[in-house]
Amino acid sequence: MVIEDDKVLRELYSDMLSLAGMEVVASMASGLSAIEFIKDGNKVDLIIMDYRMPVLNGIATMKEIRKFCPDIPVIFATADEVMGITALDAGAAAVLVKPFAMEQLINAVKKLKK
Amino acid sequence: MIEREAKDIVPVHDNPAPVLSEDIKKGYDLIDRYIMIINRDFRVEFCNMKVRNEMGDVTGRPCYEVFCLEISPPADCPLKKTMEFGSTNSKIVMCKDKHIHFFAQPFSSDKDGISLALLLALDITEMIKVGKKERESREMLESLFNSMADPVTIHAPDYTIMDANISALNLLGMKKEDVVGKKCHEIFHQQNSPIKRCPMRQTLLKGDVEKSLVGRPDLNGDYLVNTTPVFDKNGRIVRVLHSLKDVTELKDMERKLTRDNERLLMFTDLITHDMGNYSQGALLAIDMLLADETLSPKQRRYLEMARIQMQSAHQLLENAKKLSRLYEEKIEIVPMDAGIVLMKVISQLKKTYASRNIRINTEVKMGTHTVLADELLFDVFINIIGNSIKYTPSDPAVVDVMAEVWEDDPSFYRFEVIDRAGGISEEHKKSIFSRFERYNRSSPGSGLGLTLVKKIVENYGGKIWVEDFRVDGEVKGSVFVVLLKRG
Repeated sequence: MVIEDDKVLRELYSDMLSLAGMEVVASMASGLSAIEFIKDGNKVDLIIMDYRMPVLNGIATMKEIRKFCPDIPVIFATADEVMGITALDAGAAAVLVKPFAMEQLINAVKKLKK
Repeated sequence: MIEREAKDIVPVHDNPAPVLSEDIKKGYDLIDRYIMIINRDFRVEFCNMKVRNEMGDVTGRPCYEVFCLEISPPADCPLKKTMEFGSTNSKIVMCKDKHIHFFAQPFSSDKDGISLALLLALDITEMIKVGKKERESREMLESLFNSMADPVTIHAPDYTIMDANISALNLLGMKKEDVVGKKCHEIFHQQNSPIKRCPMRQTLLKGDVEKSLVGRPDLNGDYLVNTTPVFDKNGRIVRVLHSLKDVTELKDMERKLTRDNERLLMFTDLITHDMGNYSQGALLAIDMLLADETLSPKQRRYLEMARIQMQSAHQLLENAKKLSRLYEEKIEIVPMDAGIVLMKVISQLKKTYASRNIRINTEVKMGTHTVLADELLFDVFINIIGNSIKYTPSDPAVVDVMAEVWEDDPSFYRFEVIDRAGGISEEHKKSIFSRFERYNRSSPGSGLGLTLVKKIVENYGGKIWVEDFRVDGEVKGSVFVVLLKRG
């Protein structure tokens, strides 16, 4: 699942992962809609999460989702290195500091899927 | 000379037989004042030891000759009045160069009136001098007090204003008589009791100097108020000195700066976050296109150029963000292994310049050089070494990184990054670390990299400069020297 408030990035993440042979089951523009999706019982293997989003930020969203799926790996994509460290401390599986290459994203996802 | 037989003398009018006995004379001799008994002819009947010691024995001489240097008693002579009216009189008279305070009182009398008078003389010259000095000092202090540009007021511990200088009166727009005697909170703040932020209240509680910024609506402007206690010899506060510094202009500037800074922070935040997202989108879109194996070499080259430009733009923003943080935040420096940092830098540069033939030679290995720095040490080395590679026109791009204990101050390591990029002109050496300076505009670069490096190194308490790298006297490249404190 991709949680990213930027429409272009959502589309690009989805296209790249599809190109790498993976399926994006949901592409959410906000943390709240992602939590609802998980609450509804939908299953996802991994989340790619933006940090800065309106209403609920990435870390708060991750903490809420983990109440329903405690072990789900979350990859944070952030432009702020400091926030990246905060996300790792909060339990993120990996952090990609923007701008990153397509290859880095795909490698990170593949590594965690194993 | 008149001789008397009676033993005791009662210096009052109508005493029938007053006599200056030897006992009394001895008693007068013990007194450290000028004492004389004067007869109705104004001649000295007796003078005590103090007179004899300092003026000689003046017995029998007219007192106006001795003391007033006159040929007859002066018109305002106190003795003259005492003799005439039997009253006690006093007068300060200039005798030679001294101020003498004469007290004359009847000593004895007979049928013709006062026959003898006692003349006590006090030399008050010193007293007058001290008094004059005190008056001059007081006038000087008053003058200083009033010439002070800052408003100053003096308060009693019960908040009553005891004095106010001209600046304070001007600030209040009041006359001294309208201020002195009133409570300061009534005059300055139009309140019935001291205001919450009143620094005088703290001074009275703590017995120490207090500072407080008092502004509108308490005062018509912003003032830095200092309250200083004045103690008596028993350590009690007897006065509190208030001095006010008009900082209205400074505070207005500070408020403007705060607003500007907030705008700048918002602008920086917008740039770093939103632009980061935009460049991320553009880069991923380019990556997607580059994944297309059917692209022509020219198309691929243009896309790669676009990618490099986007990365440079992003690097510029990153450097600007880091620089901004360095100016705003305090850094904490800790011992860091320069060898480990260099390993990471070399690894990163090999990825960045995968298409080029680069060679980074270094003796700095893990555990060999510990310096006082923080995580930005990575930025120091990656910017300097990255620049060295970037500006080396042809491959292989060889960069040497050396380090040794600095001879001039062994508490520092001297790191040298040596490149073969052709050197830097003297003119550019001066400005290479300045903001937005790039010595070759046609080359790629963030334009802030070396500015960031300089700021980081200086924050570590180190130094950075650039020298020529010469081979057989010929300039072949540059040596970037970085001094870092040993950890």
